[in-house]
Amino acid sequence: MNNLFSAYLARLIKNRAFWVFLIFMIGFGAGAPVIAHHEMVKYGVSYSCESRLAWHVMLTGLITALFTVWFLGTEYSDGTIRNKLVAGHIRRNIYLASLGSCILAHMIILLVHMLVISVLGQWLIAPFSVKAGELALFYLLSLLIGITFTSVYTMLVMQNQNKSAAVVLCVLVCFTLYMAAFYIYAMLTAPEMIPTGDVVTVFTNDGSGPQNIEREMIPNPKYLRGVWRTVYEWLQDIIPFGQAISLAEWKLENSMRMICCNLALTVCSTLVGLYRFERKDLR
Amino acid sequence: MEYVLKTANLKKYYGKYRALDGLDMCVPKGAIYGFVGKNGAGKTTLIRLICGLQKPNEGNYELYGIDSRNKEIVKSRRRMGAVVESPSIYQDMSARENMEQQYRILGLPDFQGIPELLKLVGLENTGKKKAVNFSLGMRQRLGIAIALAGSPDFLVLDEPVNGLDPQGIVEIRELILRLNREQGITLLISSHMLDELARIATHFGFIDRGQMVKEISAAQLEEACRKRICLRVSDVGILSRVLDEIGLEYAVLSDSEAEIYGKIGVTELALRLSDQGCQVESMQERDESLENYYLNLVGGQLTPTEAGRRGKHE
Repeated sequence: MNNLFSAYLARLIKNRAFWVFLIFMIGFGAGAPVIAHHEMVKYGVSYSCESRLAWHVMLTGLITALFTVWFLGTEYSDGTIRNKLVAGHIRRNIYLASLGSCILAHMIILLVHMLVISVLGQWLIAPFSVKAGELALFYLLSLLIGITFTSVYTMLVMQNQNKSAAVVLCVLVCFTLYMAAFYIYAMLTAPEMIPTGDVVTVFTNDGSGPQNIEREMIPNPKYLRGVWRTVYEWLQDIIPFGQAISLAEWKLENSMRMICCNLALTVCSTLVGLYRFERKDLR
Repeated sequence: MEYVLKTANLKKYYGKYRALDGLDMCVPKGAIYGFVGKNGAGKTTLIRLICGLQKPNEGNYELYGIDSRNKEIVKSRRRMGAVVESPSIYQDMSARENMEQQYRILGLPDFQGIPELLKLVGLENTGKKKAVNFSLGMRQRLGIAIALAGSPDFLVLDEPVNGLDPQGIVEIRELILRLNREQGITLLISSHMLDELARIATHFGFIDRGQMVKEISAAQLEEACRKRICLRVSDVGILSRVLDEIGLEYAVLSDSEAEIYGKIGVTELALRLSDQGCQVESMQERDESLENYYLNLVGGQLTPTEAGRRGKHE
């Protein structure tokens, strides 16, 4: 497998998609604190450095999808996966080397981005106000989310010999997960009590003028309670975008659960991908 | 005889469609094996199976004596190179970069052999030109160079001259012959271009509907296709005596028909037969082209030219 991995690495270094996404994330990492600094100076707005740090996590899913399809899809569209099999490599090693190289690419892109935004953010916005342990946990979870995305997209791409179809599938999965995560977030953040539609205005004779009586508050029927709330909370931690939303809000209370979900999803998607790839008829 | 590849009752189904339906074949070591069949006969399917891209549903094959069901088959596969259907090359890399990739995949310690291989296939001057800008012939040649990267002694080429111009076809043909004669590489070449294969193959395998119809050496095929004169006479015994006296090679087909090989003096033969009371009822000259040999094997139609020619004589 070392030979395969070194071949993928050599390809990665020359890969245009890798450099495009790396430069984009460096630019994004530089741009966010610059814009924040500009707003702080011009409008007197106050930001924390860590609040600017979290936005990349929302981009991770889409960038990982596009890069994985572009990098691994070429193996099918150019037919070069055949060279590896004819050279005597077994399918398991081909799959794991593909996965490993995509994970490495994503980690490089993410780490460089976080380095840029962290350094510039502390200089242009403000030093981090969170503890070092929390920051480390944040970075770890960001990386794990990226690894999970990579595993899922690798599983999808390696089953699909048509690069265009793989692009469509991965982007669809990405946006479906986005929407699912935001729906779950909306359900979890729904208020427990909501006002009724009527406003009661009371006129008194004591000269104090009209008074608006507080609208009657009633329980929100869409508020999740009991088992359902627990189910939705678990779903939010299972779906990588749900974790990304939690990270964006610096909600790290369930970090252990998120780590376990990431690891489980990575292992499951890899095992499923391996199983199907081993049995796939290749052209 | 030593065989590089042997298949036994190989079957491959795609749903209800039987791409291979009990294929038996043997590729001798050192041969240029021409694998002939029409579109959809099963040629590419067989190549995919032996390259490990797909698994057979039934039957097995042996590569260098190792059974396909044995895990050690991957070691045998390292002795082979293949171009399956279309050249497997990275379009965004140059010829040299593609070769370097293949060298890495094979775990070769350095890139020293690359310039020689590129020169062998005529791509030594492509520089940094990306493969996406290559002509079809150049891509075919790069695909062959990649297949040769591991110094294989068995090379599988799936329709290597498809889409090439006449010059490209000549170049590939000469390359194939050089590889076989100078480096002793065994080649399995699938094609439906019979004339091209006839120029280079030492053995032929004719496949139709997923089954091997006939395997034959080039010498046997030439024997089967050579020119002959078909005679219908009143007494084949007298004909045999006369032909023996003249010293001609012949074969008796029935009690009134025979085939004579080689050049004959028609007037002399007719006079001799007439002297002995044997009447010549009909005489036709025939030569079996490889095309018609193949079509007769698989039960196809004669080409219009051949049909016209036979109609004139009968």
